[in-house]
Amino acid sequence: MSATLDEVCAVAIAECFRGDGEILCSPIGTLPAIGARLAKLTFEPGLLMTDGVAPLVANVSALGDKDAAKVIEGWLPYRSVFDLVWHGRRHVMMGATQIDRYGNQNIACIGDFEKPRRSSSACAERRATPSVTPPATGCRSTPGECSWSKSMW
Amino acid sequence: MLDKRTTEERVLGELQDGMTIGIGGWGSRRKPMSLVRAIARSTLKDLTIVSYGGPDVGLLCKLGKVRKVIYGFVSLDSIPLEPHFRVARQEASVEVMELDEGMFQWGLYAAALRLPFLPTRAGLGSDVLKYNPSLKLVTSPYEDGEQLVAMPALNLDVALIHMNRGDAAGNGQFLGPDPFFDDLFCMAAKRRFMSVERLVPTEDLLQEGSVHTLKISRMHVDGVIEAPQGAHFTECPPDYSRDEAFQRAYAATAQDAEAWEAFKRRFIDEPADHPAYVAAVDAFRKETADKGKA
Repeated sequence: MSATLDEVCAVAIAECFRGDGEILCSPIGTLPAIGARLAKLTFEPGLLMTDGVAPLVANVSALGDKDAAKVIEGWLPYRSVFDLVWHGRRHVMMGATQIDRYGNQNIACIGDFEKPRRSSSACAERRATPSVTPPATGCRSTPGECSWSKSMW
Repeated sequence: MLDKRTTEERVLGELQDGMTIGIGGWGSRRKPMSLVRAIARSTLKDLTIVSYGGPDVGLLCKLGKVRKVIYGFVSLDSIPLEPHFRVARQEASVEVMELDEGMFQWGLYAAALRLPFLPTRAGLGSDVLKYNPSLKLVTSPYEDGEQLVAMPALNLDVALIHMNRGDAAGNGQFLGPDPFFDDLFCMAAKRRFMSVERLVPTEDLLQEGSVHTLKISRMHVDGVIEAPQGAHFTECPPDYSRDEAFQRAYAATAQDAEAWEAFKRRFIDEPADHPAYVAAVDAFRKETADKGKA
């Protein structure tokens, strides 16, 4: 039996959510979304997920299936997401632009912050307990130190 | 009943160079674009824009209206990075205060509550503090003695927001999935202007949505503008979704000076008011549809 690298990653991502129980699971990106679904459909059925906007959706549908029926179990506008982060019940999985050897991640910019070579998506949102998947397209996926360090707490 | 109906042009008359202007919505979602375009056409300059940024920030930076941007991100959602803002960053043509988006909320909330700051853990251990040396820490006066970030109030001169429905007195109603932080923008500002998709009599507001959707109170609104399609090309559900074709055309202008000049002429300079802009967009849609058929 063999598995593709993507499949290995999806299972590894799913394992990151093991033991989380009833908390908000926020996968950002394709593989994180697959891994999170795998976890919820197997060993972590209590995970809560949004549809990417505000409704909390109880059922799991295939990735990218926009017409899938949704069983809405709650409402989580951004303000409530922030509250939940600070309350400590959110586990986000994302792919940073850079990750360094210490595990710091960077989604703000590449190069000097004052005049970056590449401006990125800013130091937004990715608070809470983060796990990281380096993106396949990421340039400099393991620099010595990030151009910008994002906290992990 | 109070009648606070006004126009984009009259709102412009209340704005001055150097003001701090908060813009509601989120990314490419429910942005008060008819008001943003009015600023884009004006001679205003040196503005500080405070926004969960989308094309509002990109457009105003591109047009040289902005001295400083305070933001948690600047995105077009379906196009992750706002291309005009990206150019502005890479050319260092605007000052920035880049914050975690929760810190940003705390800044608005502190201003709304007339507090100098609110404490938060967001930003600790991050370069947010390194690149924003004005941010200070505060120590809990209680037994825990925890060190926290003292997020300063983001006080606004003016707030601009867009809602689905409203009445002439300035009550505003959101009918989409998320109210975002528009109420905080209004409470953080000295003057507040709201555009709406449709003005309805106050007694009809509850025919549109439940009482919970009445998020903006007239006590926080100084002027209301009826602007159907006022958030275009950003989304304004359930009234309309994002105009992705138009947004792609807008985004492509960041890499093409000629395309930018044509876009600017057609959609910013030439339409004298919002209805004229909507007509220009209708013509664009028809051309795009015709191209699709050909």
